[in-house]
Amino acid sequence: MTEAKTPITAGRRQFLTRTGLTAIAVSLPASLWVRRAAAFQGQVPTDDQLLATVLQRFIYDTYAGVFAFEVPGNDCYSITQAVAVTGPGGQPSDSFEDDLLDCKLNGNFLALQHIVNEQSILPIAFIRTQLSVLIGALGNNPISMPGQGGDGEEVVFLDEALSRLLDEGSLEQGTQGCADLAPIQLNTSLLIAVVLNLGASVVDPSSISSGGGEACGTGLLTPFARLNFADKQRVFELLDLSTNQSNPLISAVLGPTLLGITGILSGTLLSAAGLVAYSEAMNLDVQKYIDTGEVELDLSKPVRGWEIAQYQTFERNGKLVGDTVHGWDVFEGYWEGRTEATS
Amino acid sequence: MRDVIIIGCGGGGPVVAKELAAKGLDVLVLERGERFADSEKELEPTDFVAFEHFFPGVVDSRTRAFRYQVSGVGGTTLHYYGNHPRAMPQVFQGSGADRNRFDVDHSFPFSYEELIPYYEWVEQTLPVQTAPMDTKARVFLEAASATGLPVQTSKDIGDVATFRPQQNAILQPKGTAGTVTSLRHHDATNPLQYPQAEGCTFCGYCQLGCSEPFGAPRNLKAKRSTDNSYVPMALTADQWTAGGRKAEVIADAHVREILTERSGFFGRRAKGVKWRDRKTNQTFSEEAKVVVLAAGALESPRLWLASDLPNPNGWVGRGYTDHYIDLVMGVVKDEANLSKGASSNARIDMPGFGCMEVAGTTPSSVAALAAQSSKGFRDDAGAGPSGLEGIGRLVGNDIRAMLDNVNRLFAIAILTDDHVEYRNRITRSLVFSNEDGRAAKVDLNKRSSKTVANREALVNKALELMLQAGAQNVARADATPITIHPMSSMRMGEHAIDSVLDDSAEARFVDRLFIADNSALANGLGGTNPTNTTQAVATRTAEKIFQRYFGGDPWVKEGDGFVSSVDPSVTQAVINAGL
Repeated sequence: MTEAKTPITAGRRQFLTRTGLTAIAVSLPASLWVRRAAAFQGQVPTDDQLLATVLQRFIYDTYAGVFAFEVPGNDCYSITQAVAVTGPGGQPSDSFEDDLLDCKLNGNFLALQHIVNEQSILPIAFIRTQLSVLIGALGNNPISMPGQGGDGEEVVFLDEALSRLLDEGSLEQGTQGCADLAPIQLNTSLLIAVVLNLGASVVDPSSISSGGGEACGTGLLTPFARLNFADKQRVFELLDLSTNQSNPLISAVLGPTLLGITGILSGTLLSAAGLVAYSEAMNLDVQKYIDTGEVELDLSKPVRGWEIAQYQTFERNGKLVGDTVHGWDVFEGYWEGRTEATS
Repeated sequence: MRDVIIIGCGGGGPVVAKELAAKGLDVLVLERGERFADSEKELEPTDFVAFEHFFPGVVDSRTRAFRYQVSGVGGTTLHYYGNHPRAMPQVFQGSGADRNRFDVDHSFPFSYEELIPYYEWVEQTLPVQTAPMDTKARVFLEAASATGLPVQTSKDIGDVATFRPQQNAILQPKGTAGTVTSLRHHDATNPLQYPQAEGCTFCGYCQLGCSEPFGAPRNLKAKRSTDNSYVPMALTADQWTAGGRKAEVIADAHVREILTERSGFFGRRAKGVKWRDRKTNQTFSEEAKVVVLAAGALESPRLWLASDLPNPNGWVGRGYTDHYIDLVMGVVKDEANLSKGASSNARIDMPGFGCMEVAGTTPSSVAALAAQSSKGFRDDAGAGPSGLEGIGRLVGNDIRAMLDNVNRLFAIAILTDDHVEYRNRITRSLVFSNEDGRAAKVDLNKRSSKTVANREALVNKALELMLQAGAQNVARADATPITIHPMSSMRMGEHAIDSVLDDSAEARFVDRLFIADNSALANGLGGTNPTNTTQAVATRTAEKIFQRYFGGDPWVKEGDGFVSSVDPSVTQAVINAGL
């Protein structure tokens, strides 16, 4: 770990803690660092690599909470929000750590990131400015938080790497290890995950504290994913609220410059989550997408979102597949037998 | 120097290209998106891949939502439902319509009767045909009939509300089409392979681009999106008509600026365009005698503003309408098969209010659309008229309940007669941008009280249909952020004071610059789907260009040189050209 070159500002400390980033850094199991190091062929992972891992987990946990909110199922994120149903929903996996270690991020997660980042067209400079302003504002309006006694090495490396991310816009990880984790960039997915988690800290300040989400084994690590369904809805309602005065998220945390875009981010995110949860996005060829940026789907496997909606699932050679069709036998003739209209 | 450069290869640009190429002019079409040359492979009918056709760029400042756009050869017609009704006659000059019922303050600068020959020309070129019934269309038509509405058998809308099967730009099914369910594969065992199957195979993917039936020449694909109709004709105009000259279409070419020069003491005239190859990043300039802007109702004003073209009356980008879309959904007892068959084969027209149509789609699209609303999250308390159980965004258990069986979902899209308002306009965003600069932004500042009342009347009628169809769990999205019919943002008009285009669709402030997309429409058409009218007006515009700047004679009213896009001569030309 590097030594801190500059003291951690109050704003950055507030930012790291209220978003849940510190908790993630602290909570990632020791085995992760060991195995990640192994993945880097014995090299000790750099701070940038560790931060990238933390940010991936951060966005994943937040988006898993969003998927559960949009289309609940029997996953642990749905159980945590106390609105769950039998059978699978939008959140495809309970096992992020295993996925991460095996370099197997699921298609839904990547697809949602892809849509949000591609559609939002927020310039990096804008995101950088907003995050910097946000961090400054948090320092001016701090709240009491647990664990402020001293800076563990996780907090130090997070702060250092975050500074570089804000300065440079991305963190390079080199070509070794899991290619899908490199590089992490300042993008809209990161910004919206920050906004959702700060929103959670406003709606339910106790969500900042660790604990909760035990249904997910080691527990959930981001404030947003820890919320119950009604509180998640409240966060989105605050994002949609266009006024400064009655909006504690804007007035106390985000500041007025984000006022014009939070509703856009909210609408885009939930629409995209709905599109992804009920589409074939989960069957995305993840490795190809990571390597080339191209979207290719494997429809030889059933599409879970289509099964949920009883849309189209077929058997081919005795095996369930997610194929599309050439046509359906639903032609019922012409209304009153007329095949043309008069002029 | 080219004769004509057309910016945009969507619903309107290829119409002008085909018509003028058939007259022997040297036509270049520049399209921002890609060209799907092998549609059977490239237009994969899956939602996530189809999403890749969309591009960001439009922000709605009022509802604070993104408005998705599509690019690519075919433009919005790649994804449209193929619905081709004529506009309501009352929105045209001299209709004598009741001023309180229609937007007569913003009429077209010519009569409905004048446009009829151009409608007929387009309807025969595509061709437009009466839609067959699938399950959801039958459910819709039976419910509409049960509410007491009369059936309409004419292409022309009258004075009273009626229901009817759609007039669609989709070839009617023949052979095995519609009688067989078949998985998608491309070999001799496909029972829906052309020519065993012709026309619509009821695959249900209208919104994802049409490549059915497999094996059919490009110009015989079922849905008549311009990539299947006008574009192949434009590219082969030297073959199917005497004196024709094939047009050139360049894809991945983003026009960054319309070039102009001084004309007389105060005027300006278009002289060409500057464009960027999005793959090589090279920039090109090319001159033309006439420039036709057809980039869409959102991008056309953006390009005008980005080019610093004159705007003396302030109407560039203003007067935007979009049919103030709403969506009413419910779960019916028996299957309606919402995702099977052409997306919309039945409609109701309510003169003075707007229209509605059955809205078939995929579950993922339902979820994406239902997640947005101007009314916040679904509120079941006091939701409104009889039969409505909730209004607002559907998430969580609400969307699960709606989509637990998509085959029992029934949905109606509301197309409101949305009146032109000066304050509703397209500008350029100060925050959002893409690789080509500041994004277009929709400033929706006002819906007139008549527009709002129109939509409520339509929703009430839709609820009546839901009741007749035995639907339960009926919900209304109030889906303002959804845009499928953006129009009239560069409107043609009777008066110079409140319009950008004259009655020939030539820009009032820049000579030799015409507009031929939805933005050129004078108003919201009374609520009817815009493509047929845009293409009829674009045909008329092509004739005006030919007469005004190339000394030619009109041809439409006389029917001179008419050839349908499904004519064997076009099919042979398409095969010869390897399209």
